Amino acid sequence: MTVDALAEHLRVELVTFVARLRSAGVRVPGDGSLAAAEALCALDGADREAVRAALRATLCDRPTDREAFDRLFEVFWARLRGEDADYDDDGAGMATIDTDAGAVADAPGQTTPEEEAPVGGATGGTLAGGVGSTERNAGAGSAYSPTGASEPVSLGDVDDVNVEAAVAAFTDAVAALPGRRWERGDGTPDAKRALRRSVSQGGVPISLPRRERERTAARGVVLVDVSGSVLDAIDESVLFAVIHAIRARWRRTPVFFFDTALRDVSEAFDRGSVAAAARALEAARVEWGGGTRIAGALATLRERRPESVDRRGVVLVVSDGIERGDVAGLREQLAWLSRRAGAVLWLNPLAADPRWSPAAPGMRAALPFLDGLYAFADVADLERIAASLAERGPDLAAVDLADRPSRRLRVRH
Amino acid sequence: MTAFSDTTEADVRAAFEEQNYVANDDVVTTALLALRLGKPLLVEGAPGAGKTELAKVLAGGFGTELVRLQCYEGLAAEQALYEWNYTKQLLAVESGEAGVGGDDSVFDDAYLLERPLLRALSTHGPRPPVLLVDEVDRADEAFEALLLEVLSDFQVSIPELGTVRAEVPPVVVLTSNRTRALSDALKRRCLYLHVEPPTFERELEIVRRKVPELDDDLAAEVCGVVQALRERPLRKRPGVAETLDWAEALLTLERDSLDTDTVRATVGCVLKDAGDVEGFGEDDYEAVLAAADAM
Repeated sequence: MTVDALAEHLRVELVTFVARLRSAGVRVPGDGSLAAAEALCALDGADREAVRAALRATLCDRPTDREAFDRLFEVFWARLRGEDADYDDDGAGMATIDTDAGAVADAPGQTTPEEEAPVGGATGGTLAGGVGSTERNAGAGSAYSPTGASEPVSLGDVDDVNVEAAVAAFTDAVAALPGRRWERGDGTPDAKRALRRSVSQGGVPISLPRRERERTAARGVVLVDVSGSVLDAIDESVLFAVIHAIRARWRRTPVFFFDTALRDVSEAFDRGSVAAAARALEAARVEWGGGTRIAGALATLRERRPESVDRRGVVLVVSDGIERGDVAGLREQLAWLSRRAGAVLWLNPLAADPRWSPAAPGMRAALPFLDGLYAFADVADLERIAASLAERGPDLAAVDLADRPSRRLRVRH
Repeated sequence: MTAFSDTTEADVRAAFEEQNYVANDDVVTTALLALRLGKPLLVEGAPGAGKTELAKVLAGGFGTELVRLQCYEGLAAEQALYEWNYTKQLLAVESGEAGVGGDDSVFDDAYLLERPLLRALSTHGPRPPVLLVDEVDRADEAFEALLLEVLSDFQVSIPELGTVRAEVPPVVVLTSNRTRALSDALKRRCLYLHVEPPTFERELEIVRRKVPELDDDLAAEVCGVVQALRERPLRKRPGVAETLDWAEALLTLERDSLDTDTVRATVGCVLKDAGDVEGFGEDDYEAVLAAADAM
């Protein structure tokens, strides 16, 4: 092969590699190919690890992308050397979501009292805002009643779930959200500062100061609905691991469990491991699995721990929105939450099902006060949330059923 | 062309060697690229991983000045670029030594207080300084935008004096603990390096270099325990800095081996979070010692 042909081969493989990285979700800068080519030219030789380091330095600026980068680099290197190697068809080698909406219909006990609510809007007419199918309460229509009995937390052996990468990406995305406070920046003109400065200079014309929403580190408060309906729709090991990681990564972020009461469980999640957190909750005789009174829980938060919510923090609510208390009260409490918090993000485990719609009265009441609403039943969901937040900021796209892929609902058996 | 266009990998390795900085190959390659291409180097990693040290080592190894800008929330342009010495200006005007215009203007170099960014751009010498912008994630977005502007053209405009342009762009090293995401625009202009915790062998080499008085077997035990601790889901995992602190502490206490009591008494050197320390029980001490023995 001539030198020109070799150079062309390298260029083609480099551009292909960059395209594959992007397909795999790696955040490659727009001029990544050019920067990578410059870096390769600056190397003395073609040592494999030096090439890897040069490409990683120019194409990969998130530690969470490293695994995908390294996997695809192996293919790139083999192809560069003329070996017979192909990138996976999916480009990413990413885990694909099992598409089997029918699994929901086959699951036992699909009925909830929500079905009886004349709210409409549910696809297929079987899932109107929630699914409450479990052995625990299969066939018991009143299982999610406001007086449903709680039981002590008992997880047995907590599965070891690796959520670090997903929570890291989520933390990055939350930290990058614009706050509500203003700071100096390149955004809109700051009339007050302009006036003050002009007056201080005797009315002399000045350059127009501008301001923009401040951005801060990830912090806030986590409110986890541990009613029976939520626990049936989400893997508790994932939930615990995510809360534990958030508690470790975010600044000053208390964690509350709520069903018919609100409990501060922050200290339990300060333990060294998820299993230790579970043991601490068990030891503290924390209860869960009862009915849901979201409004009551938020009212308690407002009354006793108002400092937990402030405009520099994000309120993260994990709940299915099936409110068994006062919906009008819920509206009032959420309005307070919305006014006081930097952003309110609602993660709904039931929204992972394709036929879900925000038809539950509690969920419908909450919508106007939310900055973001997302499906959250497993780690892959959290990765999607992080990507969505990073790309578009908070939104209510989960409400738009047409845009969501068909997904398998997690049902406890 | 940059001042370091002709730098070779051997030069970088020699500089690291001279400064007792033990680095992985990817750190050497990325540092070499930053020097040759004249691009800022953004180093991320856990606290104590050796990010700041990298900039110091580059400055020391290549015999040039280190200009450090420590970032914090609220850091403004005047603290990073330049300020006028108002007191001196006022006194000069009142005493009649200078005025606000003409040849004896108080808007002159003599009344200018250089801050790190301007200092890094205006330094003269055979080799440019190393500009360390430390913990850039602590600064506000507004400062990040300013940094972006400075790093793009390596020049600063001072309305009263004109434009100060670096004769030779400084070697720029930015560090971040990832407490917030940096802008894509800033990242795009930088080479990126994520410093991973070292392997057992490499960490042992670091301890040998930095705390040579420590017994070799004890150094291995220390590194083994720290490696075992990093495997645990701690809120604040120990970095290399913590390992070195611990090694120094054991040397000071004249210990020659690790046992449960010694680890418990000195665990504050490696575990810096109250929750981590409280959550560490008797079984955990024995488990990490056993894991260290197995290495």
